[in-house]
Amino acid sequence: MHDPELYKNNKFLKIYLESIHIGGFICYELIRQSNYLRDDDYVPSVVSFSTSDKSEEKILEEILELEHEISDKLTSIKSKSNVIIFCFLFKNYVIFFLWIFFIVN
Amino acid sequence: MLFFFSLEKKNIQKVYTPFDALDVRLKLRRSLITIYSLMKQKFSAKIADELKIQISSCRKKIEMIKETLKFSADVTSFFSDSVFKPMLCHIPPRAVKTLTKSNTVEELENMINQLDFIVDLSKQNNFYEILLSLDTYLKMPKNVLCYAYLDISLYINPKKYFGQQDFSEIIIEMLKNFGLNVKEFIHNSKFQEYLEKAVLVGLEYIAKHIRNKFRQQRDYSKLYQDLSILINESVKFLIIIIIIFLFFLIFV
Repeated sequence: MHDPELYKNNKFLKIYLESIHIGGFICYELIRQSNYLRDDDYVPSVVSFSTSDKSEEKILEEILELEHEISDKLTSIKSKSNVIIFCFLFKNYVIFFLWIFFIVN
Repeated sequence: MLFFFSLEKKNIQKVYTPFDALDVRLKLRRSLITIYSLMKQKFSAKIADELKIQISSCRKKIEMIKETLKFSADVTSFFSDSVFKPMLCHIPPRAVKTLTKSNTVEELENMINQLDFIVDLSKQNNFYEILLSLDTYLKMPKNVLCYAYLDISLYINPKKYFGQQDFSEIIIEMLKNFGLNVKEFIHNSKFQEYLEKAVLVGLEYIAKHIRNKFRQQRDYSKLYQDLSILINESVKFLIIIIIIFLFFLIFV
């Protein structure tokens, strides 16, 4: 996670980890603003947090793009499964009508 | 026939695919970044409403994540205990806490619940209820981000509760509840002066209330000195009321 070389070629992982990074940085900045918190109020240790190269808006846009890609995949999966269900039902109906036809004759 | 169809429909549970799992995780991440961005801004009624929307959306996504946990990959081998070593540290680093998948979801749920609690707390306008709510908040599992957010939001404005409601109104309401007819001297300059001091002591009391319990003992002694000044001044109005106020602060 801490070595960008591990995930730089994976679009999903890259954006996901960058979003975690920027979220962590915003939280760190927010915690630092608090006047009443002292060292022993912190659950984690007080460590520095490197700034993110990207802005929140940019990350949000990238996440949204990924979501669109996934929703496209989901739609294609659903349409495929619908076709399979239709074929299955159609086959059953054909068998049923053939069966009726043979009984009648 | 129709009856059987309806029964079947009820029993059908949504089957999630790894794509659904990925999708919900990305959506949750987007909601969380939106929440953090809102938390960065100055607390207001509008921000509180937007936070509420994002919180409810996060809750739905967390529920879906729970159902798709089986798709999560094991990433423990990617985690490094020595991650803090190259970072600048003001105090000796504490042991790194490794969370399991279910623990992570629990922590996230806890954070969202506490944030929701803080938003609800901002809408309260009764001093006693505020203290009771803060007691409930302190009993919740510790979350440093929400703690910091509560701390920042409470004191955006030194005279306004969560930067929205005048704290003097809360104090006046409290005095009314004790039976003091505030209307008689509300425009009295000395009462206004007294009210300003009471606001400071009241807010300071709330501030001490959410502090570390061990530090409270030390801090309350300083607060009692302020309170004694307030009591001396309250003789001009109605001493009994302030004695009740003092008892309220000490014993409740």
